[in-house]
Parts: sequence; structure tokens; C-alpha cells
Amino acid sequence: MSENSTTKSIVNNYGIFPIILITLIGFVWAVLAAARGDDPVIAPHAYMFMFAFALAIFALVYGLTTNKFVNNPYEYDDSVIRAGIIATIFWGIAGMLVGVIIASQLAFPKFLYFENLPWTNFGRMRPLHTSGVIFGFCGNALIATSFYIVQRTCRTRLAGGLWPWFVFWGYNLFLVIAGTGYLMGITESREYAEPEWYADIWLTIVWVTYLMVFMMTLVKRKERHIYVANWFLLSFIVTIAMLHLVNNLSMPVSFLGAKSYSAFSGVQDAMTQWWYGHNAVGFFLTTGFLGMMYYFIPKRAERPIWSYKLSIVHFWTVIFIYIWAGPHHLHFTALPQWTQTMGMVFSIMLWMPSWGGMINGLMTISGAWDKFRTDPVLRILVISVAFYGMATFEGPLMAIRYVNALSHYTDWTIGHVHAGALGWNGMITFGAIYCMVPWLWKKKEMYSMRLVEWHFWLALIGISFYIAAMWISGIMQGVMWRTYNDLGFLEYSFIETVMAMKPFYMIRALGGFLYLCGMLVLTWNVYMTIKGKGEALSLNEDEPFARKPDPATGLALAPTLVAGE
Amino acid sequence: MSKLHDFMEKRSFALLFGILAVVSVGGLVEIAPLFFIDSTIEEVDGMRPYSPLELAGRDVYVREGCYLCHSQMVRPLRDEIERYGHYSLAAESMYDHPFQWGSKRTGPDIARLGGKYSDEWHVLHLSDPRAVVPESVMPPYKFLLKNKINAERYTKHLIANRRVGVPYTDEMIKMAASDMKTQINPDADDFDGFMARYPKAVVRNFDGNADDITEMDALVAYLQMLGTLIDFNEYEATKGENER
Amino acid sequence: MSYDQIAHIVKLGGTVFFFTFFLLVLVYVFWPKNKAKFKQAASMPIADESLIPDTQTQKTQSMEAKP
Repeated sequence: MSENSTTKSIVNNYGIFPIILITLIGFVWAVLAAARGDDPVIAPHAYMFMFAFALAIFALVYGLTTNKFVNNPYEYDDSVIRAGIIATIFWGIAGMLVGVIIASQLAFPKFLYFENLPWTNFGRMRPLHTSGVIFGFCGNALIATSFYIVQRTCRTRLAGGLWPWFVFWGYNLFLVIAGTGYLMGITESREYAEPEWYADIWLTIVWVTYLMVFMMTLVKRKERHIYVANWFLLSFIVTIAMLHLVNNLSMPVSFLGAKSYSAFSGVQDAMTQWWYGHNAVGFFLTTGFLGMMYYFIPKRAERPIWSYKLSIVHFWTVIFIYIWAGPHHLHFTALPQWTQTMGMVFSIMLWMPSWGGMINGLMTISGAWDKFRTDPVLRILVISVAFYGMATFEGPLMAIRYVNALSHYTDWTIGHVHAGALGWNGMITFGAIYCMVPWLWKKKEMYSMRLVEWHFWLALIGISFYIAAMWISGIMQGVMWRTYNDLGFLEYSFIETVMAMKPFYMIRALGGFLYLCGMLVLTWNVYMTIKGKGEALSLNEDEPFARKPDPATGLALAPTLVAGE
Repeated sequence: MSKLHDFMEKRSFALLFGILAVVSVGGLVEIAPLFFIDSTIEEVDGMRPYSPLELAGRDVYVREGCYLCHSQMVRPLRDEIERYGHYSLAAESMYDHPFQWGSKRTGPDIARLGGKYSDEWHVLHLSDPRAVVPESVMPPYKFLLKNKINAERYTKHLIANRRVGVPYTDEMIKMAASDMKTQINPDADDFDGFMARYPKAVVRNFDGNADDITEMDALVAYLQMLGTLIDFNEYEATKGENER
Repeated sequence: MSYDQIAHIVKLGGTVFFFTFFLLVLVYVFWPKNKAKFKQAASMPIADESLIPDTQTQKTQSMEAKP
């Protein structure tokens, strides 16, 4: 088949005019808001939108007139995935750096707060950290890997021509708007749903597009069966759409101003928010990443999934049960007790289906345990599953009402979240990046397996410091709050419990710093791989992708392990 | 059964709707009843919408992300009741858009902060926390003293709140700008009218600067009314599920 | 509706719904006919490399192109 007949212009296939229309509407709103904005903080955002949309329209018109947009149905659409990986790394560094900074602020408040720089305060930077790592780092990783997985397992090119690029740029524009908003004080102050109404509307447009791109790719698949990873990814995308829409209902003070008031109040708002908040964990950070696991672990280990049956059973049970577990964030609050009880019961039930994923992931490696030793990338993937198992055991434990009475409001929660975020989401993302970068940039392997080894240990030690510090400080603070002296009075004033936290805040900051260092090692390794240095030799175009590390080089690159044998 | 699933697989949209059906159940069962069961929010005397200045203070509280370190939800546990006061009622946050119960106590709970410290203490503590509490890890908020609030423009905020269900009367909305100025000036002409609209409101020049309404005025006014509206000498839980 | 009624309906309905649903999933998973399909699906990620048209994929149009 000749090049001409297989390569079609994207314009013929899908029409980019809707994208131009959306950007034009956005542009007009931005001009209005910049010119007649109702509060001073909206102007910077209006200019950002204006700049982004103007750039987009320019790029689209340029591409149209020069006929740059082509769509080859016999090639995977990998360019947007390459961009996604770079964005993942960028947001990872940014989010983790801010995390280290705010952790240090709590350890050294005298030196790291500046009374003339309100935007450096903990309250404004903390959402930047959480959104940076959850939505920036994990979100970009999810979009990139989901595009990668759905194409490979459906044996078809991504649907939608330019729309995947719309998803990528639109999502990252949302992140910039959200992140800069927090620093300026534009926030709804509802955990993990902080962005204001206009950013929420923009994300809705982007997310529905994402859902459509993913769905239409499934629809035009050339495999009969939809691979289970895609089930997990689809449930992640569609449930997040539902949660985002319901939880962010709010009433703007003015359509040209930043401030809005949430549609619900008090108890109902709390329940809706934690229905959202817990399932952001459940569907963003769990089912999305399980989709990743169900592709990259079998792929890297070159072993079929241990039990496909188990994957189906735990898929349906996880998504059914997870959505009920939200109220365990509200034990002993003014939420009616029947709701709290439901939340607790379903949280405990969640333990088993969660472990279904862990067991399937770990057992898939069985029979290939030698690779666990020789291939640090596979080791990172496996460790992530182990942390997933740990966090999904700890979660149900903390959801028990009387454990929660102690753990709630303390650092134990923070430690638990980071066991999941650093150990599970972070590690599996690193593993996926180490797999995908050579595959996508057509290299034999990563630049240096020794650096992967370094990254693994830096991250693992960092996580250990972090979690251990938070366990101790959390349980200690919880116990101190409820300690009575012999006369029947409370033993400790509140500030005494804050003072007791100090050494642990320092250890936590150190752990986070080590983890960030690991991230920087990854960045260097990826940069050198793309440049084609070290082991990252370019592949001959006719050769298939490198799928596995050469056992010989793998051993040669891990001398310490050989010596230990 | 097998055919049904086969069908769902082949038709990816069927899989999509299957997922949607399964994930909707939990939310519907847990959230929807909260809007319909009367006993979710107990009936108590004393709750009223925030005065314009308190609302402005609450907006500052929301903007600065205070909820990330301070909860506003006292649980019915012995040590918490002794440390902070009566456990929080659902009714106490029924006008809170959004709720600010919080999930972390890096600092203490402040659901019942109102009246526990003087205005001077609050202003000093917010400006430089470590000047008052040397071991504090709280950020400084001195800039609130400089940021002025335009009372006239705040009417819109009351209207937006009314649209989501807060019972602001037409009179309250009409008088919003005036009420904001009245609350920092105990000698104002409309003092009695203001107190009739917002019973138990604290009227003082909170930050010591009589010329301007600053964000410090607003925030301290908000902190000084937290948890003070209900008289717990008279409150008695009537229904079992509200006793906790 | 009172608290007790709601609580009762929720507990009973939730249990029945979930249990039935779980059984249906189990039936599907252990249906003998599906065994071969699952076995093949389990190794899907391993063999997915290129999209270069081979004769088979050329012939097989999209699964959902025709009703």
C-alpha cells in the first residue's frame, strides 16, 4: 500500500473545527474577564487563558494551511504519549519539590515563612503540592499510559485525530490555572477539589473529550475482547467525570469573577465532598493505576496474567464497593451514624477485592523471579504492588470507627496517603516510564540501568523515612491528645503535642527530599536515553521494540547483586 | 449470562453504562437520603446566616486554606469535649458553603474558638504567631491588616449565598454594605437594626484601625463568632441519632 | 421516611443487590465456555507490538463497524 493512500489528512477524518470553536469561545470569555473582571485576581487567569487560546488558534490555523496534520491509521499515535511522559516528569518534580518545601516549613517555621509573601504560606502551597502530584504527575501519567495501553491492546490507532492533543494541552492548561490559582488564593477549599468554577468547567470539557477519545478507540478496536486493563481505565475515566461534575456544583458570585459558593452546605457538602475525595483515591489513584499494572507487569515480565478470572471478579467488586467507602472520612462527625456505619462496613469489605489486584500482580511474576533480581525496572513495578497491598490493608484498618477515633486528624492519615502515593502510584509510574521511554523513542534500553538501581533505593529509603516518621508522630499525637493525668485532667496542652512533632517533621522532610532526588535521577536518565547515550542505542527501524533487558547486560549492570550471590 | 457479558464486551458502550450503573449505587444510597431525612440536621435555636463581615472573614479563611490545619468539628469523645467544648452539631454548619470541617489538626480545632481570646490576641497571633506562641508552626498573616474590603461590592456575595439556599432576607441584602460598616463601629446609627438582623453578632473595631474595613477585621469577626450561636445550656438532643 | 426505615432498606437492599451481583460475576467467570477466551486474553499485552497491516487485520474490520 502506498504512502498516500494510507495517510489521511486529519481534517478529512475528524474536523478540527470544533476545537477551533471551543478555543474561540474560551478566548472571548477570557477577553471579557480580563477587561471587566469583577475581582482583581481573575485578571492573571484571564490573560493566561487568552494567551493559551490565541496560541492554540494560531497553531491550528498554521497546521491547517500547511497541511501538517496527518493521520496514518497503520501507525500508533505515539507523539502525544511522548509529550505526556515529559509533562509527567515536569509535574512530578514541581509537585514533589513543593511537598519538600511545605514539609520543611512545618519543621522550620521560623526560617521558611515570609510575612510579605502570602503565596508562600503553607495554606496556599499545600494544594499546589497535592494537585501537582495527584493531578499533574499521576494525571499526566494516567493519560499517557492509557493512550499507550488502549492502542496496543486494541491494535488500533487512537481515535479522534487531533483530539488527543486537545486532551493533553487542555489538561495541562487546567493544571496551570489551578496551580497558579492556589498561590493567588483562588480556591474553593474543598480537599482535592480546590479549583474554582471556571477551571472546573474547563476540566469538564477536557475530561469528556478524554472519555470520548478512549471510548471511540475501544469501539474501533480490532481485537474481539476488551482487555481488562481497559476496563479499569474506562471505569477511572467515567467515574471521575461523574464525581467531578456532582461535587463541583457551585454558584459563582459573578460570571466574570473568580469566587463561587458551593451548591451544598454542611453535612450534605461534607458527604458529597468525601464521596468525591475518597473515590478520587479509589478511581484516580487505584483503578486507573491498576489498569497500568495489568499492562506493564505482564509486559515487562513477559508472563501472562496469573488469573484473568480474578481480574474480572476484583474489577467489579472494587468498583462496586469503593464508591461506598467515603463516609469513613467522617467518623464521629455530625454526619448521621447510619452513613458512617455503611462507610465503615464497605471499607472493610474493600480489603479483599483490593488484595485481588495485589495477588494478581505479584503472582504474574512467579516463574520469572530471576528477573526481579536482574531487572530493576521490574523490581520497581513489583515493589509498587507490594506498597499497594500495604496501603489497602492499612486503609480498612483506619476505617474502623475506634481506630479512626485515634488516627483521624493526625499525621497517621498523612503517612497512610503517602504509603499509597509514593509507594504505589509513584513507583508504578516510574516503572511505566522506564518501560515506555525506550519503547517510544525506539531505543534498546534506558541510558543506564545503574541509575535505575539508584533511583529504586533512593525512593525506597525515602518512603521508609516518610512513613515511619508519620506513623510514630501520628499515633503519638493521637495518644497525647487523649492522655489524662492522675487528677483526671488532660495531661498535655495542644502546643505540647505540636512540639513533640518536630523531630518527625524533620525526618519526614528528609524522606521526601530523598524521594525527590530519585525523581531527578529518573529525569537525567530519561534525558540521556532520549539523546541516545549509553545503553540507549537506536534501534534499526525494521527491528521490533526492545522488550526485555538483555540478561547478560542486566547482570553486568548490577555488579552488587552478583557479588552478593 | 455469558451472552449478556459477551454483548457488553463487544459493545463498549454497554460496558461503559454497566460501569456507570455499578458506581452510581453507593452515592445514591448514601448521599440522596441526607437531603430528605429531617433528622439529618437537628432543630436548634440560635442559628442564623453569617453577617456580611463574618462572611467576608469566612471567605478569607477559605482563601488561605486554614482548613488544611484547623478542623471545625468537635467529635463526641471525652477528651475533645473537655479540650474544645460541646461536640459540633450538624445545624452549626448548615449555612456553610462550603463546609470547613477539615481533616487534619496540625493546629487545634477551632469550631468553638469564639470568645476564648481577645481581639488583640487574635490580631497579634495572626500577624506573628511565634510572638505569642513560640513553638507554633503557623504561617504569618500580617498582610491581612493592609488588605481593605470594599463593603459595597460584598452585596453580590450575599446574593450568591441566597441562590444556594442561605435564608438572607431582602432587608439583609439591601443593608449588606451598611451592616459591614456597622459591625466595626459600636457607635453606628444602625446598631440596633444590625443586632436584630444578626443576633449575638460581635460589634467591635477588631483590628484597632477605625478608618478601614480590613481583611483582619473580617477574619477576627468570623473567628470570634465561631461556635457561639447555640446556647448549649438549653440544647438537648431529642432524637437518638443526634445524641451521638 | 424515618431514620430506621431508611437504614433498614439500605442494609437489606445493599446486601441483596451486592450479593446477587457478585454471584453473577462468579457465574460468568467460571462459565466453562469462557475458559479459552480468558486464557488468550491473559497474554494480550505480550503480543501487541506493531500495527503494520498484516492480512488478518486488514480483513477484520472494526468489531463494531457493523451492527
